[in-house]
Amino acid sequence: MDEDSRVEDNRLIDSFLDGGDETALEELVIKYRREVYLVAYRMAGDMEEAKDITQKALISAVAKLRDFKKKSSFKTWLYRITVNAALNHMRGNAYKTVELCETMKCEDEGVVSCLMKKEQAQSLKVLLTALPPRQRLSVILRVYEGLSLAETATVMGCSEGAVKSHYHSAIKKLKTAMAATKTGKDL
Amino acid sequence: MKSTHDEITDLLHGYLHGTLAEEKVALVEAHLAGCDECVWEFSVAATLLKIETPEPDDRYFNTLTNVVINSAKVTVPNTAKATAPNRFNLWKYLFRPIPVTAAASLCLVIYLIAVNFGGFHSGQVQYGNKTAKNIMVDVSVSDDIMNSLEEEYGDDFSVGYDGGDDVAVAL
Ligand SMILES: [Zn+2]
Repeated sequence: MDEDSRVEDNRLIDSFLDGGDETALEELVIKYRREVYLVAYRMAGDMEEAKDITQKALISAVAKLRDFKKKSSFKTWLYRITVNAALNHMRGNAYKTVELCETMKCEDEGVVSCLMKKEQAQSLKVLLTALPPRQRLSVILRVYEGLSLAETATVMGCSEGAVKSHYHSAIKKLKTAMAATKTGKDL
Repeated sequence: MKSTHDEITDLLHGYLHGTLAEEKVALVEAHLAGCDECVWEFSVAATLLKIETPEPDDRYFNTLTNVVINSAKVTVPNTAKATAPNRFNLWKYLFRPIPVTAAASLCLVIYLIAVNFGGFHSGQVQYGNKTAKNIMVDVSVSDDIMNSLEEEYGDDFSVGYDGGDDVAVAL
């Protein structure tokens, strides 16, 4: 993560908390609002849900700002809050796609076959959304957000080993699905 | 292959976004040349990155920013105070540091004024009364106040006022 960006974030936080500078807070929100939305969207797979999650996450982050001890970067800390907001939101809404996948206990082939039956031209987006939340998260943070293994572990609140395990399971499923989709289309 | 999968995976995002330094690109490509597992991982990631993500318009993001900043006024109260203009408040200034002493001083001031008003009348109407005797100590001051007040309000003021005893007792 960019060290200059990290220093600048901490400066903005200080001038808001200690100096009461609202424009510093505004700058911080503007800097991260889109990224928070994108993480929320990739978690939820729906724009309206993602908007709700984004608002909840940012309000929650600002309310907890005094608890941010600068041990990690602000970005990592904010992502963690976003991820928690997304997971809580999805639990609260009895999130359909997660339910679909998890209640069916899809194994590698299971994911493929159940989705293949539904529609022939399945998108990777559907596959991604169908992954168990932690596997999906590891992919979102690593592939889309470009967080390192260590940062992803901090955001997800687990060990680097656990991140690797979630990530590789996810990639394996997506890879199998992609290969199967390709084969299905070729047929 | 010197590089491990983990090291290469950490470079995946930068590689796919074209933000890696040349030597890192070379490192990634050297690894990919000999590692099918990473080739698959990169191709899955590249496909994932092609997925379109619908985004709300600027109006949503601007409203969101306002909502978040307004929420801070409630959830981060100390900062909200610091943001408010720092007006000088005489009342707070006088009464904040030593509230008990200040309250006592206020009572004393009211007492003295009341007593001074009363003292003028008591001195004339009820001279000899215990309270009136005490009040007479400050009679010179009370005379000045009463004279000025009588000039301003005329007879009504003196007639309407029953003397200082009741006020002094009430305080
Ligand atoms: Zn490899």
